[in-house]
Amino acid sequence: MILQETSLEDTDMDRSKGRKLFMTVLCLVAVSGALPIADLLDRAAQHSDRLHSLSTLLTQEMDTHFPFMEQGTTPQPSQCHTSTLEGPTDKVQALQVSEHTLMSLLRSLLQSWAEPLAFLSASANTLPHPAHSSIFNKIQQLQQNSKSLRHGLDILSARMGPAAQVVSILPFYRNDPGDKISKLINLQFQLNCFRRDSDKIDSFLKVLRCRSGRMRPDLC
Amino acid sequence: MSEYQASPAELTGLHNLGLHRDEGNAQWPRLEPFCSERERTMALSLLPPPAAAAESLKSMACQSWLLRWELLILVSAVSECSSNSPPGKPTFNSCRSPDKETFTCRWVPNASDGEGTTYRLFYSKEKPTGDKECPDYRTMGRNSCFFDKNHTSVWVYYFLRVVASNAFGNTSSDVLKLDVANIVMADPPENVTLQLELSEGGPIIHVAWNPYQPRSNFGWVTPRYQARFENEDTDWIRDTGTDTHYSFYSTPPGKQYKVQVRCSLDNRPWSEWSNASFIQVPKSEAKRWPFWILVFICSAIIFFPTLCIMLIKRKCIKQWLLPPVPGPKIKGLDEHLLKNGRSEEITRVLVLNQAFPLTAPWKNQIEDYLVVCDNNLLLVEDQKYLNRMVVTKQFPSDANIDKEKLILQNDVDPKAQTQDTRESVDELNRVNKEKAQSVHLPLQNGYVDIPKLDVDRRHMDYSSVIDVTGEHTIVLEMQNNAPNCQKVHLNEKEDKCLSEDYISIKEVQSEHMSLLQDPCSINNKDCGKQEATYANFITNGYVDNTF
Repeated sequence: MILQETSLEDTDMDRSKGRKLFMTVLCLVAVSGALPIADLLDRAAQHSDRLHSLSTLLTQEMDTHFPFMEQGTTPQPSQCHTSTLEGPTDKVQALQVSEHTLMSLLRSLLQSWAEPLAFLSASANTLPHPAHSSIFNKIQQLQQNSKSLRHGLDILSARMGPAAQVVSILPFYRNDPGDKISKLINLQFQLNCFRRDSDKIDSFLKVLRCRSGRMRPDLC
Repeated sequence: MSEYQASPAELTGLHNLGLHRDEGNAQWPRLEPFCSERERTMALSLLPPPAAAAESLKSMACQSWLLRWELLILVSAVSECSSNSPPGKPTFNSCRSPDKETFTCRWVPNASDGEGTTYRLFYSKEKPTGDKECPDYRTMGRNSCFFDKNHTSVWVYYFLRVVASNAFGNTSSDVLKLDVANIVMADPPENVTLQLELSEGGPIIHVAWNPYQPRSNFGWVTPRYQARFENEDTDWIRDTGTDTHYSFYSTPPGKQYKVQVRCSLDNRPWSEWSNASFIQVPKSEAKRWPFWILVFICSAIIFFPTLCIMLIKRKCIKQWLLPPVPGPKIKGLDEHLLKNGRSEEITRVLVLNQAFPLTAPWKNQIEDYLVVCDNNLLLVEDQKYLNRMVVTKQFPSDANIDKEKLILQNDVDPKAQTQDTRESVDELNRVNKEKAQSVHLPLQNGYVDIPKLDVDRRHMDYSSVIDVTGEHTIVLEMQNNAPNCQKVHLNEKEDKCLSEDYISIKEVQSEHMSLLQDPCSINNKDCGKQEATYANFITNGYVDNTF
């Protein structure tokens, strides 16, 4: 009887030891941030989806009050400051390009918009637009979202290697036209540029997520 | 074709018929090349040559009539041929990409365009000029152009134009600039199936549809769905996320529902609603009735026999539930006696014939004895407690007798005190008698117990105190067997006078010590100093045997 009791105690001790070990390992893993890349990419993709959704709403809100902004009158897309960043233009290309290149492109796009968003946010406050407070609010949310996405992508790229760390931040030239209407037009154009870029970021992140998943990549 | 100069009349006539001469040139509008030479000459031959002025007036009326008739024929001849003008400008109807990998553009031809007009679409990327032609005119039907995966680039501007051309020329539409990313819109979901489930909580409508892209990991586009439930009163739209099914709970019964589904890709605008499917939700009350009827019958089956049994046995139940309160039972006493009997009988029964149980003496109570005190003492100690002992018959040597306190009054006159003391002594006597009857001294624990004594025996057990003489002398009255001795001196040895039941006090040695005569030695007539038992009068009044 006594022997039995001691053996039970031993197994209990072993079990508690094992549990402690497991917990420490889990803590270390959590602390070191060693989540699987697929999970990190999933979270980043959720962020980028939200970013794209916000930018779409924003451009729609701007367009509702300025219907005369037809396609013919919008400035050329080559005038977006990020137009020099070449990237894949269809799904086939996106699946062929290496992951480091994609990640580098994503981060470049995102970081190139950090400063312009701040500038636009400042200029949106004094906009002659009926819904300027709502627009300002949304731009603030955009800024926050892109900031957290940047942070997430920094972590991701650190896990992916040095090739993914190459980031080129494109310069943004602040053109401050005098009159308010030009300011408005400029803002709308910039927001459209941002919408395009956020769509690119979202698509590329989803490609990366699909490729890093355990499922078949040809189903992406 | 040779030039033909028409006369003014002819001109006005033709004008009336609606044929206008082109302002730009003095020529008539050219006939279509499809007209044959023969027809042309025939038409021209119908027109009369210019007539002389003299005959003009007369022949003009006739000629005008002829003219009209001939022109009519001419016009009909002309209308049989196709129009002889370049086609009108086509316009773009819609361009749409269902999956961000391919896209289709459609245009609308001009209304005046003839049958023979051909349409060609030319496009270029990033530059308005440069002409590539549409790769596929057929897949999507007439007046459409389908760009497959190889020809589609996203986030790149396309410049598109449609050229309508016929024998007379080409007409180009306006240039359309588009970005494929901006024209993404999903098709409505297909194969919407409905299923009705009748559950306890109510009817449930299950909707399911085909996934937008089968076997897709959402690597490029993420479809999200909405389901719509509509009846004559209300219209619910529910987001289903990326699920291709939805269950609609708690549907109000008895109505017909129209169910539709739509899809959106990646925050783009929603697609069109799918084709409507109808489902009728039945009224749900019918199902519940059998259940409740069954419950009712079962409870009735249980309830009614129970009720009958209870009715039959109601007396028994009443007795068990409410037992009667028992009346008082006194032996020999009857209810009748109480009601009818006389008071003497009742008294006799109640009091005299009852055998009362022995009441155990209250052992804890300290039996207080009355103090027999001396006159002098009373005089001396006026207001103090006097602790004295009363010696009774049954007074074992080691028994404890508790003291009795006698509290004297404060201002008592010495003389009066004497009188009072006598009275108190008498009283004490009487009380003592009564008490002695019931005093019993247990040996071990020092309790004083009062046994039940017969009246006759009273006198045998003790002598009453007649007088207190001196400090240490008690005069006891002789009783029954005892020889006639009037006086007992505490410090004398008159043993003969005493009965065997007494222990005489042989000697009082001090205030707290007196010698008791051993009763055994009395009969030996040895009244010498025996080994006497000493009684130690402790101040608190115990008598202790100290050998």
